[in-house]
Amino acid sequence: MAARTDIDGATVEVVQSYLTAAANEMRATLIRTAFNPVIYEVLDFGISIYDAAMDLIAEAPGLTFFLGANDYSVRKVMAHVGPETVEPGDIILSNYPYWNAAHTYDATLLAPVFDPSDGRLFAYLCIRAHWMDLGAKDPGYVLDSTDMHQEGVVFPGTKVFRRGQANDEIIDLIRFNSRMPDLVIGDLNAQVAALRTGERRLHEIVAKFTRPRLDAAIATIMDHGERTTAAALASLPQGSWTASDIIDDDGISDEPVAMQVTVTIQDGVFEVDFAGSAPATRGPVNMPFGSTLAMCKVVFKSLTSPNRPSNAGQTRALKVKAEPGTLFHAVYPAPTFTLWTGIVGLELIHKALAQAMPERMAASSGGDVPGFMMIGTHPDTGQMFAISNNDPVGWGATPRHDGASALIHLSESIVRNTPLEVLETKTTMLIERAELRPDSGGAGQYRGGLGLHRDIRFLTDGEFLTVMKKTKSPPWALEGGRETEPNTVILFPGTERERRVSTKRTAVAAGDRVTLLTAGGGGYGDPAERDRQRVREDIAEGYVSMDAARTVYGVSPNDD
Amino acid sequence: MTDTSAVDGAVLEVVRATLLSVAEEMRTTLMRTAFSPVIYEVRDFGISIYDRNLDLIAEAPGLTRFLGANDYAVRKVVDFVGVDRLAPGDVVLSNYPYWNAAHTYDATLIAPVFSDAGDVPVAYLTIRAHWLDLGAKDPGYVLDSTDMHQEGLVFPGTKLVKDGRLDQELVDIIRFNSRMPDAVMGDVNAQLAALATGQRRMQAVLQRFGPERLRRATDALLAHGERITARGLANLPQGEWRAVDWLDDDGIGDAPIRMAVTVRHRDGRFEIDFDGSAPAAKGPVNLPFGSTLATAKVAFKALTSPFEPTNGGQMRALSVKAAPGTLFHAVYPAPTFTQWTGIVALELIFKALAQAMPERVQASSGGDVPGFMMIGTHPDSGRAYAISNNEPVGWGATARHDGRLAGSHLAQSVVRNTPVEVLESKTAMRMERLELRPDSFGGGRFRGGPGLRRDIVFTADGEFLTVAKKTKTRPWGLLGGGEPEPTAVILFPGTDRERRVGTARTTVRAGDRVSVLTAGGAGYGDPADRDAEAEHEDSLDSLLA
Repeated sequence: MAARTDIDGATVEVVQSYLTAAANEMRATLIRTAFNPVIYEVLDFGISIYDAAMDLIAEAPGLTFFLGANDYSVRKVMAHVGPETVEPGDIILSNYPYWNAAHTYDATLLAPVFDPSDGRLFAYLCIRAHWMDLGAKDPGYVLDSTDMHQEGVVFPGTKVFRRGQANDEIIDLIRFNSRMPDLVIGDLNAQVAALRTGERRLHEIVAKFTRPRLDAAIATIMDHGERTTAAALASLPQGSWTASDIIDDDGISDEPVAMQVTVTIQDGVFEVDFAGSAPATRGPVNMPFGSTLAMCKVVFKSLTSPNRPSNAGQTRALKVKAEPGTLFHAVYPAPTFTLWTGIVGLELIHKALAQAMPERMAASSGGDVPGFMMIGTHPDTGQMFAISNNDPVGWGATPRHDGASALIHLSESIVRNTPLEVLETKTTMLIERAELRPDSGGAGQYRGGLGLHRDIRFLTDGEFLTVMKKTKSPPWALEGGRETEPNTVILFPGTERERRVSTKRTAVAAGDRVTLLTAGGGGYGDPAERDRQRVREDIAEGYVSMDAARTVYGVSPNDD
Repeated sequence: MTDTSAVDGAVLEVVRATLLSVAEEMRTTLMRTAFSPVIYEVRDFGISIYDRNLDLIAEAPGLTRFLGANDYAVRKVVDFVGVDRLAPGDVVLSNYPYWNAAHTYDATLIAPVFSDAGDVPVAYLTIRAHWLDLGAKDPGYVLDSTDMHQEGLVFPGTKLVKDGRLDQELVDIIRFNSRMPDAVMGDVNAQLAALATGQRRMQAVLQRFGPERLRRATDALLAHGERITARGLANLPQGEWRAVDWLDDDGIGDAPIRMAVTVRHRDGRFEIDFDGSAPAAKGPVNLPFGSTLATAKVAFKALTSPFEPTNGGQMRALSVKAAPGTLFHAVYPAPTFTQWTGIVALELIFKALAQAMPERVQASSGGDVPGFMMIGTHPDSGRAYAISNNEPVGWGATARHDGRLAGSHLAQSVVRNTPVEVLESKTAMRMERLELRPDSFGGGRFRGGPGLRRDIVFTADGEFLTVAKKTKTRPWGLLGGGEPEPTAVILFPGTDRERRVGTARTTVRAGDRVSVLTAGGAGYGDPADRDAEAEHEDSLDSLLA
């Protein structure tokens, strides 16, 4: 350990900002050079920087689950590759779900960084991004795989670059095993460009500060993270709370899958234990353990250090338990493609915590990331496309304010949806409507945010799929607030083929329509306690119908 | 023309025999070291040696269609990798169907051979063998894929061994992408061992003869092959003949798939043209063009140089046509997993030729390679297994004798079935019956050979699958010979779940049964002309009910 007293606070702050800036610059490079909109529009990526001990020292805003997953992945992948085998300029690819802590299409590139002055490895850069296709059994998303091998080609930890040179054989392997090789290789190159940017910045940092000072600054940052977390943890109520929920199904059978969590805060440790959850399912809703860890980190950090840049020190007090072979700890060859489990699981942890600290927790949001995707051949290019969107949901009401309307789910709050313009130009979907759903927010003293109503018409034949795992149980409310209608997908509305689905792949023909209704957030507190003026404003905005105002809130627009 | 004057006939014979023994020794190494019975028992492999121009100069007995496919694969793969990028000690892996001329699980390893002096390969060694799993959408055989990506991990042409060193990253990629990594890597190592044997022997050949004499000798071999084929062709009638047959289905729909062939023999050229065949199927019965070529080569060689060791010169008079995007010329991403098409097509070519030379061609055999496989977890080892068997069929009668009884189909006559002992010890199948089927063949002046009946009872739960693509149309007879019932697989006979299938994957439970009834061969000539004594013997042998 470096002597931390050697370093002054100002330098520590500069180092921290420098590292965060390096991560942000990597992010800018990635966004500017990526080929597919799920990266450059949706921001479906995670960028993080580790020290030589593989402790997180900086990250750029991205998909929170990806960021937490990187922490797990970097250790597993380096243990497989062997730190002694890496050289300057190497870049290692991994997408093995159980190590990489994600499904197979979230590919992580990892670059060791060496100090030019002495040739010693002093940091790792990590970028995870969603790749469009690696030859899984179905194009686009896989909804019903029964083992990992149906989910595409897997790289356990493979050098795509060696000493700065592209490993053409591995790149050929990616190319030949993908249905969309140009996009995938384009995104791989964007990740590489971003890693090179990061490497340059880290070289500057190490040259500017020199290693002993840099190490001392990093140690100080982590210690600070650990200390502030410990202090925050001490201010939380101590005890143990259990909550349960279900996800709709595993993608194969119709049976709901049980999820249970017990959160224990005691003696400076925050333990999240998934005992009582279902065993591993046949279908692809199983979570690799690193993915479960990442989910828990999101909750833990939001409670203990919400306003600080992340570092490994902040999560040392977190312990996560899930038995191997269960829903929250997938082992080979369990399928893991549709990891919506983590989205629902995140709010499940909040549900347990709400018992302990209702004043700090929001009611449930719409509870899911209702995703859809169209797969087809584009009439303009003749090329295959598979473009997805994650729809927003209403957020839950809190003890102090209404829930936000139609936002990306809190598990991935920095991620954006795919713009209409992108959907309409890159696929053959025409969005006929995208608007807030009146009365979809849970009533309460504070109202849940509204969900979205989206109508889509297809202009050519293709395949359409939806992924959502919380359509059977309503989002929960708090302290007497009202629950809301769950998410709904209506295929072919108004025709004799009309049906309601959740996770489903369907062939569509030109002219077919679908409607997506995303859930609003749960309410907080008794609706009768709601400020009358706010109810009237909601009516004026069209958020609440006059009917609902009367029956739920007991407010008539003419009252005064 | 190459100058061959310096190589006398005796040396030529010695070189030829030496090369054959190199191939044979590779074969022995492979069989002794392979992990999976499909290689060491069934001999589902192909071993060949090529000269510097990638012309075939020797091969070892194996799956005939694999051997022909090697010829195509070695050119495509070397072209992809680049001759100039090959170095001593390299071994290149390919299983990209459209280049490798087979489905994804038939993996080919190619090793260039260098002489001490040169920096260009003087020869190439090739071994193709069936690997048990590369992570396709289903374990075991894939019956209903709709694109290549559902058929497992693909290597276009990847140096598995570089400069004599096995690339550990690629080994990891194979291991992590296979459901049976130990069996697959065991077989990879067996292939590598066989290539190493071949390398050692080829170095001895080079030492003994020198690269220049070897070159002249192999050139002379190829020229000789070309000459004897020309002679063989000269004895065949000239003309154009056409035949049509049907494959049961593509594994997805129920509609039969049309196969048409036109054989043209004129002016020393022999052309096999698949025009009129179905367009590419949605399911995995499409043949990569190299696989079509291999099928055509089997028929062509049987007619023109049946007793000569094979070499590239013998094939120079053959041309094969199939438009890209059709059944016989799959292009990316067409699925190609269940290539029974080539088996049925081989007999289709003979069906066309029978019109021209009925005295040289036999009636149809049972017409297929009825395959089955069980997939499960072995109770003794707790490990996944996927063990298959290719069932024999009766062979067709000829102008001179009865058809052979229950033999491996002529498309793969050197291949053997999986012994009962292997099936029973490595899977949860028990054979309750295995016998020739009376009356399963076509009658005739010469009768077809009988097919086989096999009754299986499962001793544990698992999956059972069958691949048979000629169960809807009968094997054809010649000159009035009888046509037998086609092959049938009966699932759960005698229960209310009983049904007849051709290609199907089914969940089975301990105690379930299936019956496999393979077709006999068709007859040749009018049954009324059959020799009474032969008829009597068939009765004594219980071949007639």
